[in-house]
Amino acid sequence: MSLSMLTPAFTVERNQDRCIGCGVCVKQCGNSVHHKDEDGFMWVIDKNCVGCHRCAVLCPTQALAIKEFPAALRPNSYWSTSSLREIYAQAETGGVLLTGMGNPRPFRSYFDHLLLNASQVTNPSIDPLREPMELGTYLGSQVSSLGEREKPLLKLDMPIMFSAMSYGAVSLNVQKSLARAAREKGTFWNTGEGGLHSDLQEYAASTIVQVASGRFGVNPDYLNQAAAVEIKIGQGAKPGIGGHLPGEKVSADVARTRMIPAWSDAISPAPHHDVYSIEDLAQLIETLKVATNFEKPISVKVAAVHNISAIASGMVRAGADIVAIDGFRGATGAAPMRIRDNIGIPIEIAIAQVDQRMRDEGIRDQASLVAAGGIRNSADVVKILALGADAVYIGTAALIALGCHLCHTCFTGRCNWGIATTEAQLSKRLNPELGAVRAANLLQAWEHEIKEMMGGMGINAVDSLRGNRLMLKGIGLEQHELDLLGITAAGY
Amino acid sequence: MMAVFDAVEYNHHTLLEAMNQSPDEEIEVLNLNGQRYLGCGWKNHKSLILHGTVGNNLGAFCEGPTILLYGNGQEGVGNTMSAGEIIVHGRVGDIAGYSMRGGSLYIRDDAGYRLGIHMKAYQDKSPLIVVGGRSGAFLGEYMAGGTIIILGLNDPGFSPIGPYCGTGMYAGEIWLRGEVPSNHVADNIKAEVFQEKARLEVIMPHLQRFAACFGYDMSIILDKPFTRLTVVDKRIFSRLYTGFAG
Repeated sequence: MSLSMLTPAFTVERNQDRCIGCGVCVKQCGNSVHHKDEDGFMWVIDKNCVGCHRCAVLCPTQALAIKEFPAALRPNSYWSTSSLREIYAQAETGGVLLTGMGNPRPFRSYFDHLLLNASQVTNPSIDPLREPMELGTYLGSQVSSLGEREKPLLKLDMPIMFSAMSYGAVSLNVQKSLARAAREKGTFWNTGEGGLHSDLQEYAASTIVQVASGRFGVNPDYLNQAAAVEIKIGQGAKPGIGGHLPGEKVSADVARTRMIPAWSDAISPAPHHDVYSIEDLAQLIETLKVATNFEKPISVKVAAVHNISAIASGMVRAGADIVAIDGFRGATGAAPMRIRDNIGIPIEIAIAQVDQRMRDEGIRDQASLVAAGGIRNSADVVKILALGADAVYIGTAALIALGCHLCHTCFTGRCNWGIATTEAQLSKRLNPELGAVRAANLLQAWEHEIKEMMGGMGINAVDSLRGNRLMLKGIGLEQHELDLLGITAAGY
Repeated sequence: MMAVFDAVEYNHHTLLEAMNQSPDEEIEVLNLNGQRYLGCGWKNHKSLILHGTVGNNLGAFCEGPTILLYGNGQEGVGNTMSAGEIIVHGRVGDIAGYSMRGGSLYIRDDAGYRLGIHMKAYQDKSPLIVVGGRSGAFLGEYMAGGTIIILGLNDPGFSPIGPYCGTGMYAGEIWLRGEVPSNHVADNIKAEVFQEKARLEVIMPHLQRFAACFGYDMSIILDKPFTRLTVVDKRIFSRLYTGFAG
């Protein structure tokens, strides 16, 4: 092997005055950064560090600091340090760059260019601590005609659900945490495409099960015990490509849940091979409705891509009860970097366009609209609801609540926080009891903040916020961007 | 008890409802003409006897029923089925046995494109497809387990499979009656020709079942050698990627 030209991404600095040589860092690091010799001498291998901060957080004397490795290349505003590093890595291996979590590139975040309204004088603001506020949301088709059977709806106590994350991509303790939090807070979690583990069947009533192109773990029981079924067409982090859970992550337990042999690769083809058109989608939706006796709402999840409004219109006409759209900031356990970083469009624009298109076509009440991909806080939730979404999915935010430090190396399966791993030793680091409390706390905090923001606007029911773009103003946006979002500039 | 429905007397949804609600263990349906989703999602051990041409997704997601079709099937026969048996006295369209995890499909005549795509085995379950005629392109694409047997009985002048057979396949076995031109088979596939009948032991019960279903003489089925297609490298994607966080 020739010389590697990659310098480490991080450097670990140990404050020797503080270090007590306890060795916690050595035990905690799954990437073999920290080492302790027999004589007590402690040393590090910087190049193994992924910047997950597990050691720094657990160090009892705060003796560790993780810093960017000071490899100051000659400044170049075109050839960034990362573009060089990517080439070095590919030149060494010939491989497709594989990465984890969401698109980190500095594209404009429209959330950060939206400002919310508040009531002053002309109508009263509402104090959510003293007056009732309604965040209850129903997802599904609101259209029914006489003689038709009643359409199934999902009832959410707040318009926030947990995104699809499969067992295999994340640990079972992640799913246990989210399932328990969802049940406690009256909302839903989503299995992803990896099947429903037997330990989680008690949460079935709070579960949305996914049917993806690999059909892992899908059988009549799986479909019928859930609250809703979601057809996964695409994902914001990797629109247009399939999935690949490497055999190393397919432990016996993951295999049982996916219903495949242990340690075999689990490959999801890029398309569903029974869905090559809107008409085919209509057929798969109908098949699932027949298989569940028309008792479950059927959601269809797609990535936000060019022409999303026409695609969503087709999905509604194909019979989807819920249209879930995942923006280009949506995360993943593993995706080719070029795909993650260059494909798709922002969720803010996608939702604004799809909501408008559905209204223009008179089909907005036929399906609910769920926004996903890069929702960071309660203000993002309020903004995306005002742009037209009925509810949101949160994935990255939920994982951060459980301890994720966004090191982007989920694909290694060596997650020191017990999140993106199926290794028993590492998975145990996430206590599902405590995880459930943390995830529920996040929901509770956001719920209250949403009520505060709504109250400020003089709105006491989330129904009155949905698609209420008068509550949004743009700042620092061009006219065409304001037009796409269907809003006016601050000051108007 | 057997229930008999005449499809002409129902619309699509009322027929499905009547069939799904029938308490009888045997259900016969006459005069079918393109009705979709028959037996879809059934988790039982009922027998369904169908006459006519059914629509797409016959027996999709099912677990356990026996479905006998006197006529042709269309797309998605046995789509994602977990257990049961579907016997088609005719031909089927594309993606029959898509993502099938268990049970068996016996097709008397030809099958369309992408037959058995993403079929997979699981614990004691190993799905099986036997086709009397030929299959279209991309046979066994992404195949991850189970057995597909193509007999090519009806059209001996042609290759029994279309191009791109076994593309992306990483487990399972495809058996073809006769010898097969290698340009029809994906790079990662190894073809072995078995002349002696003793080597056919593993598929013999399936061949016998096929012969019994459709009234074939075993001596005709066994009048040619068989070719077994299996994968060379089960981890075809393992060297594709370079982990990189930036």
